Amino acid sequence: MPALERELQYLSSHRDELLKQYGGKILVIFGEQVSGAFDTMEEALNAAVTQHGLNNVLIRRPSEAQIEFSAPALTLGILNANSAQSSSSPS
Amino acid sequence: MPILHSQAVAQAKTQDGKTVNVHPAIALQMRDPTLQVTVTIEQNAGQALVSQGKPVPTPRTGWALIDTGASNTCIDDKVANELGLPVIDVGTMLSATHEKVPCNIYPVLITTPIVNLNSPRTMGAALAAQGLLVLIGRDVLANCNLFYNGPTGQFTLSI
Repeated sequence: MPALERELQYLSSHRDELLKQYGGKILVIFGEQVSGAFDTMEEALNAAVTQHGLNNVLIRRPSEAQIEFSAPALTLGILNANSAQSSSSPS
Repeated sequence: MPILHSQAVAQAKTQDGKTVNVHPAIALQMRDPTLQVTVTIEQNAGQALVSQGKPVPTPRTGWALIDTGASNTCIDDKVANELGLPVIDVGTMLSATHEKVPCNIYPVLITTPIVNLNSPRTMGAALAAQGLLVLIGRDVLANCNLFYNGPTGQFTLSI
């Protein structure tokens, strides 16, 4: 089963009631249950790991759409870090 | 304010097979701004593990490329799995040639000897084939100053 399929399905089918109940809060959803609602991503991550360890949990605002990621160089396969060398120093 | 300052270095072979250093300006142009980084679980998630006495995933080291063309930061999907990072969302990768590809999202902390970059929503992607562990995109750069000094082959990243 793909990651978070159950959680994403739950969010999709309960979006309106979750929006009504939690507004713009960031939700932690595990299975078909909201296990927490938070103002910041930092709080949500801390609580999610405290409650669920390293298990997969959905963390998202109910109003947010799925993230669409664009990286032309990556998708075109023209990135190359071979033989990369650099030296770093504090300034 | 932590400041990471990096000088590009590269070598090339002459026609008679002799290895020579390339001018830093050319080196930076050839291979983009790259730096060595270590990745583990995001800071706040890591603190939750520590406070419960649980082990934090063992950090992994590799190359990161700063890609101002990438909307989001990526981690090599295989490494994220091996670290046992939790999937916290699923996004889609847009491509000019393929349909949208679903990808897992992980909470990641990217560390350098000087700068720590918290990346709570890091996309999983196949980066290892390109010799990369991380692609630093504009979501992380939104909290940074990046100075690309082409003529000297240097770049500076600060938060």
